[in-house]
Amino acid sequence: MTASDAAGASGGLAGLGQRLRMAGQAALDSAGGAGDADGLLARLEQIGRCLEEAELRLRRGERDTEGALRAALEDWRGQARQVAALVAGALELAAGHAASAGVISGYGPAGARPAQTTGCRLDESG
Amino acid sequence: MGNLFVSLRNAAGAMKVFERATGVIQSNVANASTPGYAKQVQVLTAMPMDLDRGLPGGVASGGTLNLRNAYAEATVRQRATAAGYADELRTQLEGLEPLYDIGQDSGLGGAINHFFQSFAALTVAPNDLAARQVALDRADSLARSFRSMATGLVEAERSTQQALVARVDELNRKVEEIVAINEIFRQDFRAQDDPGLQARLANLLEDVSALADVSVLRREDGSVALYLGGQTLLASGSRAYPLTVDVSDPARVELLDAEGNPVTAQVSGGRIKALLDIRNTVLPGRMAELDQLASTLADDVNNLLAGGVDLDGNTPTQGLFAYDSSLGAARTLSRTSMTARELPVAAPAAPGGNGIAVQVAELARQRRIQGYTFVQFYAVQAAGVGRMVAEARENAGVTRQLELQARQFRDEIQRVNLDEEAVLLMQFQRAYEAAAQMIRVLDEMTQTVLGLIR
Repeated sequence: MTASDAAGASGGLAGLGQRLRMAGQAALDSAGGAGDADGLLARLEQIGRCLEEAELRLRRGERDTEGALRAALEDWRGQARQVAALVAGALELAAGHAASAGVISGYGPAGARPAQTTGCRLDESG
Repeated sequence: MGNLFVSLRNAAGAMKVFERATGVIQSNVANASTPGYAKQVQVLTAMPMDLDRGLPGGVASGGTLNLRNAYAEATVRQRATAAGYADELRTQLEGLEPLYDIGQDSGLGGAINHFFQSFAALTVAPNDLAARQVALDRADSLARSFRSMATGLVEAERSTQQALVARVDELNRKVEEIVAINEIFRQDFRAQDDPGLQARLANLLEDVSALADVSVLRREDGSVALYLGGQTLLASGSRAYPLTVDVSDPARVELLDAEGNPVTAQVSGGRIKALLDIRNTVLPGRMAELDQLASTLADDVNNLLAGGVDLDGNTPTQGLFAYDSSLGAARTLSRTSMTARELPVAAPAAPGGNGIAVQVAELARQRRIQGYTFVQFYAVQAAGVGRMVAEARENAGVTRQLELQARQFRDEIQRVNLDEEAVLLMQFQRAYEAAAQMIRVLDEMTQTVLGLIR
């Protein structure tokens, strides 16, 4: 348990909401970087733990009297939309890159130089 | 003797080639942080060796290979187009948001409330000249609020138009620079191996892509041809085909190609598309809503008052509000010269009474426009603009991140060899597939927890 976890545990549902909010922002930051997939997975796991804890505590009868947890959940939903868009973007990059293998060899050491190809090549479609 | 000579020539030749290779490596190191720079590789080719036929063997330079990945470059440009559109849309909409004041007592909503409140006060004291004057003053204030908001929208149209012209000029300038590079390539084929020039070209193509969706066609001579929306030629070889903006029609601006043909519909992305959308769709739409609100409110009030009598029992000769619908109701709305004494708030059957004042005051609660009261209609429009701004902010953030993601990805790919690249791609894909699945699960969990709170 980290220091912030401990603070959340002692701070009621509002503290849990704060942890969720911080984890959501960290996930968004990780998703923005193309190379930080591991970091992103770790942040998503952290969010999963927050949500599990929230469900458990609510089922035990704790009340979100100030609406802080609800606000944090709504914030996370907004962040999740953005994270999902960035993850879809990363997958699109990877898939598209793999599909363009022919183009890669055309430019790489194993293939012909661009000047040796025939005709024109449209490398971006509108 | 001959063999020794051959060896010396081979050694000298190889030295020159390796020297060139070292230069390429130095260039890679020196340009590691140069935007748009792609790693170069010196290709070493074994020369045929057959001493009897005078072929000395050795190694020769096969020229440099540009490892710029075409797909990665195209993706960066596509995402730059999306990010350019979203950012420009956000900028323009944020400028629009302050016009829509949603305070209870301020802005147009407040002016509508105050106007109807003044008639509610008249129902209590219909013959009080001071109360009648307050109603006239509130009518004045309401008309001013409409005009002020309409002026704000007109001003927004004007500034959007200026921004559009500036962006199109910027696009034309960038295309001119690309054409200049094309010319260098055409004059000297070896210039294609100049990494600095290639980097400049790549940066220019990215800049152009942020302005509009442009297809790039690479030709054998190293030059590029550019097509707006994949259709209209912007540059080919050493010729540029500049775009212009036609602002002669006040209803909508038109983007024209070099021959004067309208090409607005061909633009589907970038900052220029965002400015066209704001200027031709968003702002006219908001103005039409405002005009509808102004004309409906003015007509309803005028129609009710037309059925009343003034303090002297006379029927009115004019309405309380006037406007010119051909120029726009909101922009031209004004209070007429009707005096406090002439305000016809009494029903003809009960002169000196409050019959008409009651009906006007009740208008505030009636759903007179698209199923809404006047204030609700305004609030819906304001909320719509607020929603657009919020969405635009979110989209601008996401598309900017997606652009950065594509740039990072491109840079990662260019650092590694092809075998490593395949491994990297697989790891990358698996990790993000797992992340996509996790997000779906987390979404369900979030719904569950929200359900428990509600």
